[in-house]
Amino acid sequence: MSDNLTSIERVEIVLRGGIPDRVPVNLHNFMMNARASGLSFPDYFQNGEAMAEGHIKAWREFGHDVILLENGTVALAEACGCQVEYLDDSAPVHIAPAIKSLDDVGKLIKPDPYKTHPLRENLKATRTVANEIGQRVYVMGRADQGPFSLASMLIGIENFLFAVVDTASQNKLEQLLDFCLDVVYTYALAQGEQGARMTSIGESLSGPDVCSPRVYKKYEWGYAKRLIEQLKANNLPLAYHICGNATRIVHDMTETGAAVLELDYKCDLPTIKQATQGKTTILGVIDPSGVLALGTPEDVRGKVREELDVLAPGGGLILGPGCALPATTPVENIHTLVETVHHYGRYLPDGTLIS
Amino acid sequence: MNEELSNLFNAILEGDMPSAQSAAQAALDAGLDPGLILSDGMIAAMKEVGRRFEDGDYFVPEMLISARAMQAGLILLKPHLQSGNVKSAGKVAIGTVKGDLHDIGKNLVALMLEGAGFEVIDLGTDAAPDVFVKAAQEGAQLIGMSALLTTTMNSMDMTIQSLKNAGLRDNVKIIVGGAPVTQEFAAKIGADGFAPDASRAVTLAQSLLEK
Repeated sequence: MSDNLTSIERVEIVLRGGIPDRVPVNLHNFMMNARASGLSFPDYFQNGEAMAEGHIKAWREFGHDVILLENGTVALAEACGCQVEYLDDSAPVHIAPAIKSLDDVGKLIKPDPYKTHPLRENLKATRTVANEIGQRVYVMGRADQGPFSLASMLIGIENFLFAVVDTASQNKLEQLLDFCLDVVYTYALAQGEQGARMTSIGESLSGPDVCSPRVYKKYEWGYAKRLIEQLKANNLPLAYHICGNATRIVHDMTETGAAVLELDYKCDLPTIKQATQGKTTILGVIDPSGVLALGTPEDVRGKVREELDVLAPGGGLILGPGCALPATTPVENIHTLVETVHHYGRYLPDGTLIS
Repeated sequence: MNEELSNLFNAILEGDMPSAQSAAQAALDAGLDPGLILSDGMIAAMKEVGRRFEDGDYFVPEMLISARAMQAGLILLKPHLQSGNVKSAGKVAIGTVKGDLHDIGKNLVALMLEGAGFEVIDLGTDAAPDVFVKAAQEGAQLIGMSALLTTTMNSMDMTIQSLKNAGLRDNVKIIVGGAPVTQEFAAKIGADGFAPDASRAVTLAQSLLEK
């Protein structure tokens, strides 16, 4: 099956609200790349050259349209002084906060992404991938966690969740979120400078699987919107990720002005399609664990076709996993994902799929 | 419900820790039976918190502050609770399995179980199969295992095997949960049950220990 467009053209048409030749494919495969590298996970995730090589090798194998560059969810937290642990078989995890209470927000130091570990390694990976294959594949950076989730790690997740429902904490909490917004913005800009065409943030803690829509609106929505507007002024679009079932807030997420909403398989597909149609692009929403890591190729094929049928018509879709692929995801399932989109995700000019 | 108990119930429901403490103290000062304060003031309030969570009115932060308020009241009440006059709902050992350091979901389940009158032994995070086996040897009736990573889900399977090897599998009920865990996975590894959230974990624990 020949493609008429390059990956970059295809993605950019979708982002403009147009109809390309077929649905683009994204992989969220940084842990698979680590496993395939032959290095230990801790060494791999702290080495920009190795991460770039892993992404390039995977792209040569799978030919996906979008590369999403990251080394987990704690890079900014580590750079801001949190204790993290690099695990042997998965992405690094947050162990301890940078500050003990909201009274210590003034002690936080904003990291320079070009000088601070491990941000500089992620930037090196972005630069290398962009230099080597950035004219043929759409490179997306990850400005790590957004302000809400970063703030939760800086102060400790339980402390943070107490604070979001304690009105007495509001001023100090906003001070912390302002700091985090600045940190995320600076790191996001650096990714654009290093050749990423888009950046992205994860804000899963603010979603309805954890927090109420009221808390989301009070402490997340406005910060996400500000970040998106600031980046737009620098011609850098943003993909906005919330894990779990974000159906209840998908209208609000759309209203932030994000170029892309990276959504998870737990969302109600018709609802998210309707909420985003003509306004933004959905990235996702295949289940990375249940279907791609643990399912059979037949399961993958069935789920991809099912999601294409609901989400692809009229454009506005980049298909892929709605969250990170486990390291142990079978390569065969990824080939099946890509091939199924290539075969069944082709558009007619009116935006319907070629059946 | 009398006024002291009603104040305690409402303070826990609102997650107001200072009010929960003062209401618990006021109930004790009024001479109310400590067992009644626990059952009608605290456990009843946490049950309502769980109901609101299942209905989508409460979320994790609301649950956390309610559990914190309940615990603050319980600290005042505990010295007055004599063994024998309050029946424990059961002895539960709960932990995040080996390789996994996530604890917020596990902590929430532990708090909700405590709020429902269970005696809870917290095995912490990165808990190896042997740790669960030891808890079963020491009389835990129910084992709760949590995993947030797909890579650590297999530790649940290994833990159940270890309990079998130790000849303890039939002595305990086993429940599992966490973001990547499903009912199908629970059945596959031979757990007795799966719950998608902390509130339903309590209902599950109650139904398993009633059998």
